[in-house]
Amino acid sequence: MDLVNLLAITIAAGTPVLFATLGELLTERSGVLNLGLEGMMLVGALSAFAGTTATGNLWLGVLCGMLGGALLALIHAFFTLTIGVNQVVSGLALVLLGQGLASYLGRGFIGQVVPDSFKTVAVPGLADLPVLGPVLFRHDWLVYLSFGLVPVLAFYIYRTRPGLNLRSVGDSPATADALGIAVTGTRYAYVCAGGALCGLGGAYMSLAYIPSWNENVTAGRGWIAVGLVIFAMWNPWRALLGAYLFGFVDGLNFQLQVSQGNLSLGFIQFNQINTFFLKMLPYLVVIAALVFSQWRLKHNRNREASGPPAALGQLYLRRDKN
Amino acid sequence: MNLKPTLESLQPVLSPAAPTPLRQRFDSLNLLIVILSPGVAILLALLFIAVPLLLTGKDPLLVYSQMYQAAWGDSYGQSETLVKAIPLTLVGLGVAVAFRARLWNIGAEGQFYAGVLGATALALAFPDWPSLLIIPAMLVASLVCGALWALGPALLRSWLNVNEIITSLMLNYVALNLTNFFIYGPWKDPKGFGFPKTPPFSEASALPVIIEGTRIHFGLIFALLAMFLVWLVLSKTGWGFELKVLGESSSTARYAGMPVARNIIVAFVVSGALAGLAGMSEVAGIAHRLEPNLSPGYGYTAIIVAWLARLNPWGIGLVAILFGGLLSSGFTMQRLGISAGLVTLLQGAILFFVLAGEALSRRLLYNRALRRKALQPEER
Amino acid sequence: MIEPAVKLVNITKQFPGVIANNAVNFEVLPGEIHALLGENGAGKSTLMNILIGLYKPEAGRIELSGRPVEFKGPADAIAQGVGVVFQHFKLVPNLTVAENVALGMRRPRFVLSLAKIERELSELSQKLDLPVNAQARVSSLSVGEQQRVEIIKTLYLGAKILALDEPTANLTPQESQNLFVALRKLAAEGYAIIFISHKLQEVVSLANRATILRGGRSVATVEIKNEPGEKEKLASLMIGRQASGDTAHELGLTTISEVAGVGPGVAPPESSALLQVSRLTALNNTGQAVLKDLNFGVAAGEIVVIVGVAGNGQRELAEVLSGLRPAKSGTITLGGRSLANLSPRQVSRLGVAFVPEDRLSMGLAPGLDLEDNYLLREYWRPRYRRGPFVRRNVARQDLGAAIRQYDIAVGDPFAPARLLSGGNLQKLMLARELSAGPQLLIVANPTRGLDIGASAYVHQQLRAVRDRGAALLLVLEDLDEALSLADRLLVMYEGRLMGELPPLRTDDNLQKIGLLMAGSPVEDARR
Repeated sequence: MDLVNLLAITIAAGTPVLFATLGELLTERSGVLNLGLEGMMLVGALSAFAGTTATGNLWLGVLCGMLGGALLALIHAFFTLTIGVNQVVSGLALVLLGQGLASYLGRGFIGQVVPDSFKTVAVPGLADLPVLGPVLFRHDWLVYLSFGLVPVLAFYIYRTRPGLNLRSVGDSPATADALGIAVTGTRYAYVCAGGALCGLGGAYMSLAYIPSWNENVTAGRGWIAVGLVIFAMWNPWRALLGAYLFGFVDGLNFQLQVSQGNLSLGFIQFNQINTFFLKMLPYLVVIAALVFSQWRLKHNRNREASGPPAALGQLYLRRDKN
Repeated sequence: MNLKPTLESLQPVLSPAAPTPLRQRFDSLNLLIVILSPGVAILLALLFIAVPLLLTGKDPLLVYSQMYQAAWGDSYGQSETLVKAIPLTLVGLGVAVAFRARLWNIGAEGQFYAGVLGATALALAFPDWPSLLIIPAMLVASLVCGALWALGPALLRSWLNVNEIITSLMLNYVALNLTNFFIYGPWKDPKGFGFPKTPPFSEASALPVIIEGTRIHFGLIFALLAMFLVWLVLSKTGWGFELKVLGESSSTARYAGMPVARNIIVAFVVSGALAGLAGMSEVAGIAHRLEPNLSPGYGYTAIIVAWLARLNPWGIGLVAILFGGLLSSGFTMQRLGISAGLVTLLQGAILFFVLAGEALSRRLLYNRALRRKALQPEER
Repeated sequence: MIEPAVKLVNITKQFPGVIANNAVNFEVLPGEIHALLGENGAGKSTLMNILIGLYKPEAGRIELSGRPVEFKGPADAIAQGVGVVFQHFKLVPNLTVAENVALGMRRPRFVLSLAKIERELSELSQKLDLPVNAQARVSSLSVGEQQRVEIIKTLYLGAKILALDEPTANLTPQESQNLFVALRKLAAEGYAIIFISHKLQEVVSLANRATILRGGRSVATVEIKNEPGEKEKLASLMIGRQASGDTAHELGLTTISEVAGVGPGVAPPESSALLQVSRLTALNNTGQAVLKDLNFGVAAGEIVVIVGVAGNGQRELAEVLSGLRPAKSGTITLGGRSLANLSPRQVSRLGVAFVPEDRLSMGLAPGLDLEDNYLLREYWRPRYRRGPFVRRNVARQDLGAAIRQYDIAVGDPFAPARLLSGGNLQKLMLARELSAGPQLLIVANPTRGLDIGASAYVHQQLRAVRDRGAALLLVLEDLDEALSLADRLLVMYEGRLMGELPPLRTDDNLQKIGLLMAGSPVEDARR
């Protein structure tokens, strides 16, 4: 087992969390907190699995996964934005709903293998580069999609008009409203977009990462993504960093389980580490990452630039409705 | 300097931080809402869940009547419902203490397992102690372990303002893996034919059954006592008042001279201790040994219980019985070949509709207040 | 006859329980500065929201140069040449100036051209003599700078009719003067300016005409003549009767010495002061020095006012004195006992009461009822305790007495505090803070957002507390209010006390105060 291989697994293991983190990042940028990622990912994973099984087409399956995530997110949007329900508790309810749906409807699929799954596609030329080739350019299409998504989202958020509108809705909804931006409509759109990306993360789990169905495929990855959004300070590039940090730990975990707790990475040796402790590691790493980013925030002069969207979690209602 | 434009003035009114306090009980409209809304919410949730049931070719009415039968149909079902209500009440009370201060302790499941581990360690280490010694020792151990498991998120929250939702939830997964480590490793029963479980506890360390012929155990007394104590502390004492203010606004609490950081930590720790106690009551009252999946998600269900009861301790006891029935019928469902996911689904749906009812009634009351001209909300 | 640039005809707007505008008529000519005058709650802000299409009126119409128009929203209004600079700026603090301007534009539709906006903004700001840094993050700008950003933004987006809502509320006198110069210049260039204010002095010195709103109606439109008696005439139109006593005082019609029974107090010798602060320094939340070597005293029976523009350390000073913020160095003593770095509870126990500026986010728990809010800072006192338990029945009696004594209008006794009006909230806080008979009362901007009646009541209460022998330290941003309440007036700028001046309204004195508030040494007086 060598480092290059581990880094390649890091990318693969980080990808579903990256999709989910980017999705939640968009949702939170619009000022809505949706803690229901775990539920949306599960429903996305199930819809993608069912879609692919039914149609035999992988990309239709991915579409189903995104749709499933978005539909679940729409429930959150309706309850929080239209009815005015507390966003934290609504998100928790969404987790239960998603877990319940995936478990109830997915019962028939347990143990089944998906008819088609995403396969590694080596990028011609680049795949043969030393180190970088195997780490970055021997993956499936969804991983390449995630590579593209990060810069596109960063550009979208910081350099385009819809991105500017998105930031203003999340930071100062009354101002955005006064300028004629439809606050609630914008929020609906980004909550659903966030759900679709979460669904995509779920689809990656069931169509690429572990292409078979079992009850709880995401195993807390949705929650990890919620934590990573804070670590990322709502910036897509830092989301990438956070997701791959998780991917590294998860990949290490995976490798160690395969090799029953013994692993040599050249510079460090792992011997006989108990699998249960390994399984704890990703969660502890996310806590550590959160602590680190909060500690930095505390010692950062320019807090407003890197803090959460100012109106995060707050309902916006205009006084006058005609 | 205040950059918030005036249009945001309605925001704090309509984004509910905590459920409407029962304090307003003298108001007849409010009373009606408080009584009616949970019932309506459950009805709507049942309607909602009929969709996936129909999709999978099940008759919703049949499923619901089977569930009802399982939970309430006979004295065995009723006693099992009550058995499930014990941990739900204890964890629900714990969650309510934290929620009262608007601390989102989502880590009750982990704190429950921490309590289980503390109690189990003593039960396994001292199999020959008499009941009067070992049970109080297990009780204290579970309280302490549950509290310690909650201490981390509490300290991080008060020190660096680290989001307690994430940290407490992450620790659930850590606690679960730690429990499995013990079950599959050091505590594994050598006579268990390789099954992952600990040896059975001594007779002395079992909580006594209080109703002959059922599994209803002494934990019920813990739950009743905890209900009374939490009610007393939250609604009658100075500390309860401090938590209430903290839940409204930490800057107001600081201005009022209340020890904010300490209250955050203590509320969280008390919350964890109650969840830990629930773990001890479950392992010493029901299982009598530690096995995997001891909790069917008490820590999560209790959040709904607490919210549905609007954080009222007596209400938590009542709602816990309702949800105890739901959980115990879940086991029956599994025997009938329906995934236990149905129960989770139902819980999620109930929570949604309860929240919606609350938000809508809040708006109703607010609009009525606006119509009474005596009240003019301040514009900020 | 010149066609009015904008004309509002019979505008009517209702909110649940209140008619905000009732058949309001109003017009502005090009090149004119037209004041819209009225006290808080007269319907000025609602009218402005209607003018830019944010609210839709139930009746009435808007005409631009004789042509009836209907705005779909602010963006539409500005596209047709109408822009409003609100008192609360419509700026997103986390965005840069250029981004905020881009936010108000419709094109380009997708990829932003921020560099172009930055260049054009600096050209426009040079042309109009309104300096603005287009790349700065708005949250890093002072209030005066943000206001310039708002004006430039509105003009850049194409406004020909510019309305300013209470534009001087948060400015120093000098900043206000600069603003007036800029507004006159804009009027001379042909812009129509709507100047919304309740400050008569400013209206008289700046506006060509004024329309007066009272109780949601437009009661009169008058030519402004800069002559004696003009302010009194406007004032009586504004409040619907002759202004006298305290009310006249609130309006800035009279100076301190003209109000019976109120005179500037004599500075007591420092050694006899009840509260003594010396060499006090403190840090702000980001660890920078925010109070720098403060020395002052407050004697029993006097009102000391510390005045300054928002954000110059007043908030932090009040927090340090009430135990909410640690002092870094220096001493604070109350009757000889040290207050420095005690907890808020200990400070309170020594007889210091504090009424903060933020009523709903700090001074009160908005979701709790009056009883809880009355107990908020008192629940620990032996009077309300039996062991660990709170004696609710005692609190209920005391609250009842306070409601009668301070005439607090309570609708539903169990309603949460946030449903009360600002004036009633302020009364509730005063009642609570005064209940234990404090030796020192610290109050920050107590009348912000209150109507004139409630403001007068609060001022009367504060003077009564002083007359009962307590020491009062008021931290204020409004100079008019400071002059009307102060026995002694201290000016604060960037964490330093710039000096003490008599609380007199002479032009010379006002000029000096203004310079100190702006941090200028006196040599710069000719600027």
